[in-house]
Amino acid sequence: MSILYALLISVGGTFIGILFSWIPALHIYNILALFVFIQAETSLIPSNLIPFFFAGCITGYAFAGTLPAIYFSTNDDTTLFYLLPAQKFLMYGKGHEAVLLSLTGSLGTSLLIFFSAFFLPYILPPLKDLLISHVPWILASIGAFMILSEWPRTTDRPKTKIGRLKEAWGSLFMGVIVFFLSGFLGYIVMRGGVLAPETSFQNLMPLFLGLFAIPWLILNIVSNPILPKQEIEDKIMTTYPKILRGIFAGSLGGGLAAFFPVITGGIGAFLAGHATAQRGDDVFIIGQGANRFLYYVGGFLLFFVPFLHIRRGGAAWMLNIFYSPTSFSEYFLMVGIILISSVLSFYLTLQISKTIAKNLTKIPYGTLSVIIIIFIVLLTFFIMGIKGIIVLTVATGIGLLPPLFGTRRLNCLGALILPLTIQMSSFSGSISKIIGF
Amino acid sequence: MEEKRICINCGKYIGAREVCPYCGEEQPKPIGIEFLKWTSIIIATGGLIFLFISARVSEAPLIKIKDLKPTMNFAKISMKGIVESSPYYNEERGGYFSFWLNDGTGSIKVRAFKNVARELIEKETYPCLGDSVYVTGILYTRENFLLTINDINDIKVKIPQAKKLLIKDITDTLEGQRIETEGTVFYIREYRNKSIGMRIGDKGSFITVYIPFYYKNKEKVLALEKRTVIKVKGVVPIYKEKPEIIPHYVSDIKIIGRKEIKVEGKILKGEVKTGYAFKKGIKIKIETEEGEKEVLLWKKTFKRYKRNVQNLLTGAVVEFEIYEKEYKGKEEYVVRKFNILSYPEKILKIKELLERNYGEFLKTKGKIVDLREFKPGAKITIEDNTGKLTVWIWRDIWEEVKDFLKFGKTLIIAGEFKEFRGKPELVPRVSEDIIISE
Repeated sequence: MSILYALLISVGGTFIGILFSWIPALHIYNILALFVFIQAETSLIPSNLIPFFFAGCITGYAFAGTLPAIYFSTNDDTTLFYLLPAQKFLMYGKGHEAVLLSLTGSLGTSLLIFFSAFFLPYILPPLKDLLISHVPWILASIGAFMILSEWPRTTDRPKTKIGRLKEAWGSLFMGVIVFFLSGFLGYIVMRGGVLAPETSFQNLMPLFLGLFAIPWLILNIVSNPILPKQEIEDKIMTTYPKILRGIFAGSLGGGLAAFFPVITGGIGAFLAGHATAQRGDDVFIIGQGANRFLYYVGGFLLFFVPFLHIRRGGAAWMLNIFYSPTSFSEYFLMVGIILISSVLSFYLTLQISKTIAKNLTKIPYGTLSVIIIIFIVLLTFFIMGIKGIIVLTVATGIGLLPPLFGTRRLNCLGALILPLTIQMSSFSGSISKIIGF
Repeated sequence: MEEKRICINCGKYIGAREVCPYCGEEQPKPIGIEFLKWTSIIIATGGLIFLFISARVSEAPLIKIKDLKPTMNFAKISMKGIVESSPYYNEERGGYFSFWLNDGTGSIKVRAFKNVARELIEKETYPCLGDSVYVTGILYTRENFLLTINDINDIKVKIPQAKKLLIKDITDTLEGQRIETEGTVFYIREYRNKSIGMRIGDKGSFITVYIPFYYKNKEKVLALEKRTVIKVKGVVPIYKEKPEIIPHYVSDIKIIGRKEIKVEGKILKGEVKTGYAFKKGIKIKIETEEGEKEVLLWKKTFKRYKRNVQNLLTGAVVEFEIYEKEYKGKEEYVVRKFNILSYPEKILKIKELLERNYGEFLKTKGKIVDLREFKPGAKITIEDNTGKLTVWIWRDIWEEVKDFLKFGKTLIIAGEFKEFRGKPELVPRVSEDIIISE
């Protein structure tokens, strides 16, 4: 395999990643799933080049996925925490600055990956051996922490005590309900065999699109937001220590999410946010950019780390269908490719951000949301068939509960945490006996 | 589509909220949001119930190995076939059980983890080589396909009928087939990994019955006495190019009686040529009428001959009563008794001894002129009027003789003449090889 081919295919992947990532609610994993579907039938590109194509796509997504999160909505759980500070920036006409802050975090983390790449093969394998037997209880603790760290959202408006009590505990109760409903749905999808075997490689796709993407699009249609005119200057109002703090906090969360199974970028950011007590919107957004990059790209790179080769994230799982890394040279080539894709993604995303910011008030947001919902439904139908649409519908029903009842959307990640904690624990068989599959 | 949602009090945009986040004013409930709330609850709960019922009632599709595709990663499927390898079980990390299944179109590794693996063992629902299996699990796509069982009820095992055979008829052509045979227990050995090897024989033919370490009640096998006649049912695997029997359960071994085993003794007469001693025995090469043979003389047998020990030297003509035994796939002649008919009576001078060949059993006499003790044994130097010779005495022998081996004493020593780091030395085979000269 020539390095030139690897580079070219990764640049192609970066363009594809960026092309699809600015579209609200569309996840790069859905595009990669479509690719896997076609590749399995046609062998479109040589299997030894697929990893570099994936790397380009994911790197592009890690950067450009910030755009819909800041300008339009949130498209996956890793961007949930952008919402408050990013909306603030957007409402002050500084959406582009928020994008630039996030990109700074991502680019900084790509350098961090590059420099730490030499040590990872020696640090991570023993760390994995040390932690592997503790994963079930760690996951269970995180699930419990997510539920317990909910707080009563009270306004003191209801006149009666009962009314206030209901208001205070309603959201907490709904948080628990959402966690277990999504957990049960995840269990059914993963273990129940409700989807056709031929499309099972993407069984989480309708689940995640339903839990996160479609509910937000529906709410955007219903609430119809008003957005002010945006500034498009390439400047950020922050300091170098703040950038470093943001990268550190984000890397902590992203690293946690990338390394541990089941913990997604959103959970990683949530835990790191609690652990580092971040202050300031700029630090927060830089941290989210770093977290997102490390979760997606760092997690993908773990598949190539010699002596480790763990699959984290949908991309690595999909890639493993066609390919298994074998050497140090592939690893270091991948590190280099990621750095080059990162620089390319940074500049391309910046340009797209300017274009969006310039035309934001002209974009028919409601119509765009409807088109995207139709696209998601058609994509799900094309890959998963009618069964996929059923799962998508049920997941959408659950995914709508958090914003409508004022609880955290992160609770929807029960869809992963609950079934996988059960699977890794020693009582998987007993649960299976009770449920019946 | 809804109107833009503005607070009725402060006029700020409030999105889907029911209470204004800026001024706290309660907003009139929008019909769209109310409708969405109820619809989402109905879809979430109703849809989950529907999916749950459909998952419970639907059977996982039965798929052939040749039809597996990479896009089936994580699919719940069923497979039917024959177990083509002896299962593997590992207790580490909570338990892991695996075997290879062949459905006639290919092979796939089927595995179970932790409590599922442990339950398969504890409830003895595991399959064995040659069993027919119907298994449902989650498919994983790696370099090869893997099927993971999540419940012990997901595996249904059908054990084939056993064919009755004599031990002598069990050959490697029966690999993977289930047989039933009878034999007498010759020995039972527990290996380091706690599995058990039991050698059974019948009319001069032998076979090993192997009990994997994870079998329940395997202590019952260890408790079997030698010469017990047993009936065993099991599958035939090939190990080191020889057939063995692996029963499905310990209960497949049934005691049907006891038998006195008469091992025929055989006489082997010949002249001792060379040999070597090891920790527990001595291998001796003898020249017989039928050619050169090697016999094994256990040291505990050898030591019974006390003073005669020194006469078992190269050149001695000996009558060995031996029995034949199989060891590591080879026949071995083990000495039960021996009778030395003649031996070289002359005690060699050191100079004469040094001219002889390495590997011979020789005897000499000399005075101790040097003595050094080391951890593995002791090195003494003896001297006569023709020269000096090093004698190496291993620790176990040294412990028996050290009290009377003193500087200046004269010894008659027999042993194996050998070379160590380019220098000749005499190594006594047992403590009886060393005598103080009067």
